[in-house]
Amino acid sequence: MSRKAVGLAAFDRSRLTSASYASHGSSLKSSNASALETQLSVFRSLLQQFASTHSKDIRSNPKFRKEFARMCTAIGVDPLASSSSGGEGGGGSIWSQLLGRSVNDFYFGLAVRVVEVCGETRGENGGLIEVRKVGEIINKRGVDGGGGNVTEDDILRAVGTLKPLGSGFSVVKVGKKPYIRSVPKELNTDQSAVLEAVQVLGYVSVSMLMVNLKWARARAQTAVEDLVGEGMLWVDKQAEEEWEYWSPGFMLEVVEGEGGGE
Amino acid sequence: MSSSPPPQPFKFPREHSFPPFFTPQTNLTTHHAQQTKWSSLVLSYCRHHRIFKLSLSDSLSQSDLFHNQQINRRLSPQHQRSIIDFLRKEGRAEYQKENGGDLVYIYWRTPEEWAGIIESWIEETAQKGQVLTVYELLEGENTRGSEFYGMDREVLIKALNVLVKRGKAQIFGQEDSLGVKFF
Amino acid sequence: MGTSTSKITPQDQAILDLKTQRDKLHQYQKRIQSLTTRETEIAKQLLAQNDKPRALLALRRKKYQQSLLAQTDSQLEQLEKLVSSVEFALIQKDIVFGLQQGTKVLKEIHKEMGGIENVEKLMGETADAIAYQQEVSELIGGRISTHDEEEVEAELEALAAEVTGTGKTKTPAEELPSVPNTGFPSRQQEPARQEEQQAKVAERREALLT
Repeated sequence: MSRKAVGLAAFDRSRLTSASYASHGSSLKSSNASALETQLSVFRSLLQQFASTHSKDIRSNPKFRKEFARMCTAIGVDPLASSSSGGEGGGGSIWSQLLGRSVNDFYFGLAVRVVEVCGETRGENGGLIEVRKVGEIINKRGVDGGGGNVTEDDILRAVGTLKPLGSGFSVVKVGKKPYIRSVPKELNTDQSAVLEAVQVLGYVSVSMLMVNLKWARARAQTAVEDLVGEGMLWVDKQAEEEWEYWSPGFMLEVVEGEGGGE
Repeated sequence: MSSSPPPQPFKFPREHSFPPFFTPQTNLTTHHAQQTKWSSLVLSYCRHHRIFKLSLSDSLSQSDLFHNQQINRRLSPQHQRSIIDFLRKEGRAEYQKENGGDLVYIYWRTPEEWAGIIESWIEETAQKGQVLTVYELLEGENTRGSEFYGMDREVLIKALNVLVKRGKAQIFGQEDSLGVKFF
Repeated sequence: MGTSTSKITPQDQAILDLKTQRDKLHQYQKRIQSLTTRETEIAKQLLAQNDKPRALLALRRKKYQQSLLAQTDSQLEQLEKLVSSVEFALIQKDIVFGLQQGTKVLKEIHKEMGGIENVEKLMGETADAIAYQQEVSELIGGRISTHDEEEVEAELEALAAEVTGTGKTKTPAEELPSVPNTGFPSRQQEPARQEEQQAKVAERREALLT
């Protein structure tokens, strides 16, 4: 039926068809959207169901917790993201919405303990502490809510919950290891490099830095002295050849038999 | 001369084998944290060995408290003094003589705390109104097993004087044969 | 606060002296004990060096010291006994003093009562007064007429009926004329206040219905 429409009536008809296409399109769109919505709500309720039936496991079993968190991130749900930034109304993070707070509370509770540990040790480490050490201390004291230890992953997540508070707690990488920094101070690259070297060697001296990093004496001296000034390194003036600089994290080693190298 | 050493060796905290622990730190906050750790270490060490009086020079040269042979680090006399001063500010140490001297009382229990212990012992053993000799308190058969058995005589007398001030005791007699009456 | 100028009595001083003596003996014993162990050591050493006579001497010294020790033991025992009997005597003294005080107080109270005769007289008077009182009440009892007596008994009965709740009780509802008595037969026995409220409610309901 290839009939060429001519005349004024043709205009009318084409307008009509385009209008009907449009309406059809929008109805399709809306049906798609509603289908998606139902899918999403089904998914949510399933997730909720899953979370509530397994909330005990999520709380007590660190492995399980980690897997659950990974599942959430895989499908694009940041479990702890505060809704204020996400736009989703209702308040509280998705986990708190889904789980009736219990898992969420777990991380907030953990965050409080992390803050405690950072505060207690700030005097001796200048506010920079390895995440693993925080975990060791917390696990040694015992987590309330019983069973299971917290993992580094948990601690990182817990520190994440502090972000909206603008509390100045942040995670920095020194070398390969994550640290929690509880004083708002930026480390420059030289300082990070020194800390990394301390991590590997146990302690450093100016000449060690000069040899290993190929730095000029003044540069090494400045970096090390800055870190001592910030309280992030301790100086040992009784060493045989020259002053040595140590990480205060050494004192926090909770492991009984020399834990040492990793 | 003093009581026999306890069977178990003192377990030093980890910071005691941390070399910089023996160097006074320059950062003020760090230094404070360091002093706090040192003073609690001194207190627990003295408590463990029941040391009531510390000779600063002797302990510096002989004891394993201020000298860690394994890592070959020792405290400087000035640093040691500053730790004692830190303890003094918390009421946990006192020079035997005013302004300085070599002997320091280390109060892992303050005279007030000892006074409380003695007072409750008197109460428990129903010895109010009794006359006891100081020697008897320190070495008598009755006090064997009590916490102040064999404690330092001077610290004991300080504690008794606390009780005197509170009107709970009176000290009388000659210097070498002091007696106390409890009320 | 130096409230206690001196609570130390001469007895306290005496006890302290005794105890000091005892302490000294105690120390003496300790000294001798360490001496004897040392003599034994010396004797052993001398024997090892084949110096028999001097070893014997050391052992003799030891023997002598041991005899001293035995002596001090008995002395110590005596001192201990003395100390404890002094302490006990002090307690006895306190007891005697207490008894004295008690007796004194008792005597004073007796004195205030004015002796046996006074009490006897008082008792006699009390008996008299009781007898008199009885006489009076008998007299009054006789005066009350049988009529009065009946009235009194009737009142008692009425009171009893009210208490038990039987007989013709005056319902509080009667005081509120608008409420029909028959409407709430079961409520009648409830406390008055509740009744009142209910009555008011009923009143309002009736007003609405009509």
